[in-house]
Amino acid sequence: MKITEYVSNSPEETKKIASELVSTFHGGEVIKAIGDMGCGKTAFCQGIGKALGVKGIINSPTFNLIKVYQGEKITLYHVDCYRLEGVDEERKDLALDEVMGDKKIITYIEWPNYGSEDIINYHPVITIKLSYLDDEQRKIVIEDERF
Amino acid sequence: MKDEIILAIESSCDETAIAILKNGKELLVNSVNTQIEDHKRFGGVYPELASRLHLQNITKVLAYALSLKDFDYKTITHVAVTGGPGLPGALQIGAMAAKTLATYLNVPLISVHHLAGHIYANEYVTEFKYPLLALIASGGNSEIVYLPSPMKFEIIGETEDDAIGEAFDKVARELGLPYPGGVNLDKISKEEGIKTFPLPKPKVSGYNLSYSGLKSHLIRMIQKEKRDEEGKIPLEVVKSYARSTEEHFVNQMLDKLHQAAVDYHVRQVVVGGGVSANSYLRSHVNDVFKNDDIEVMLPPLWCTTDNAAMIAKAAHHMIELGHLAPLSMTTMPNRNLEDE
Repeated sequence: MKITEYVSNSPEETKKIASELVSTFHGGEVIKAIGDMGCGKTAFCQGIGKALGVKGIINSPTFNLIKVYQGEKITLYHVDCYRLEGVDEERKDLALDEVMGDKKIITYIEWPNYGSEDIINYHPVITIKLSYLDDEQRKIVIEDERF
Repeated sequence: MKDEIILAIESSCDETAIAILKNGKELLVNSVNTQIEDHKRFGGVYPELASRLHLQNITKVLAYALSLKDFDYKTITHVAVTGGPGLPGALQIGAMAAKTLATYLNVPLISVHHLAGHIYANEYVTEFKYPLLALIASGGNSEIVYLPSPMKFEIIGETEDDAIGEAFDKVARELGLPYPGGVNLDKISKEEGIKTFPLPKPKVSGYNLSYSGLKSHLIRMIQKEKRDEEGKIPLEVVKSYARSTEEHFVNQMLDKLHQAAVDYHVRQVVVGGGVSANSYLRSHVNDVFKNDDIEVMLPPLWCTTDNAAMIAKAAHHMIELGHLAPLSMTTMPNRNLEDE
């Protein structure tokens, strides 16, 4: 596993780090984003989307659970399991088993630990750990199981 | 002339719902399966997510709808279904049921955009006057949509991050308020004389909105508050947060809505979505528009939640415009409102 650490000074820098990560993608990557509220999980996904050529705004999928965006060649699934905290396993099924790993799809999952066993046990994944340093700065650790 | 009878199905997210609409006006059935027993068990908190549950529910709501006294299912002239956006698996269940029915009855199929439904739900209350501006404010949406004519949509503003209802819920949770957070935030902020404090104004372009930065700012402020032995923040402080959050979030939205309404010279503004129940929004929206010759409509709450009546209403307009879908239609989880 390859571990890379960054310090981001703004949402724009976070997006740039995301777009560098996208340059290593071949399709089918599954990304899990972990971090407290307001650490930039959605900002990181906006960077991924932009690098994939998604036009328009990528905003929070918390309520909708899944939002789907079309990039130039790849479809982006933006998933948020925040609402699934404490939900029965059988109710957590978002039918992502056919989505995760599909070569035409990138799956980005926020709050994966509240998700179904399918999500929790999926490998290989790229885990993005975001944490708060101060009002502007965030620490970003990327744990990449592909390497 | 023969009656137009639309059977509509909505299954894009949490609810499986069916409605039957006669001649675009008379709602014969409006049935939402809320799995009452299960919801009780979970305190009414959790969503109906699994496609499998939609599959179980759809036969139940359909059987209920078609068992209606004095109703002959053979009189159905159109079948409408939510074609997106939504959860991919959930959408497919609704579409499969709709296609099966349309094939069996040999009637046309209509594929409706979920947000078009939310906007046209307001027509159960008032006839639309174009050009019109619709604000959709809920847990999942914060959009300002311009309608120059029926079923023509231009999204002129939307949230760049969190929806307003979602941000309310998350701030409320940090304040220790019970679910549903946004509703409880509203409840405790109603009384007179609650002190408010200033909050930063996010820089957002055009008619777009932003709540994520404010939410994070508030959460960090709340985390620094003094707490009692049980870890609770004093009620007066919680109320002050609640009122400040509510005013600040709603004002951001109403300022943009008002500016857009003036710039686009609209005749009518309709406010939809769960957040339209917010008491500050309801009391303040008329103040914002008091000097304008613009009619402001606030719908009753039943219009704002997911249901199939709204899908039937939008379908009625689509039939008038000849927007029918082939039986080969596919659901689109990322369907764009502006492509309608």
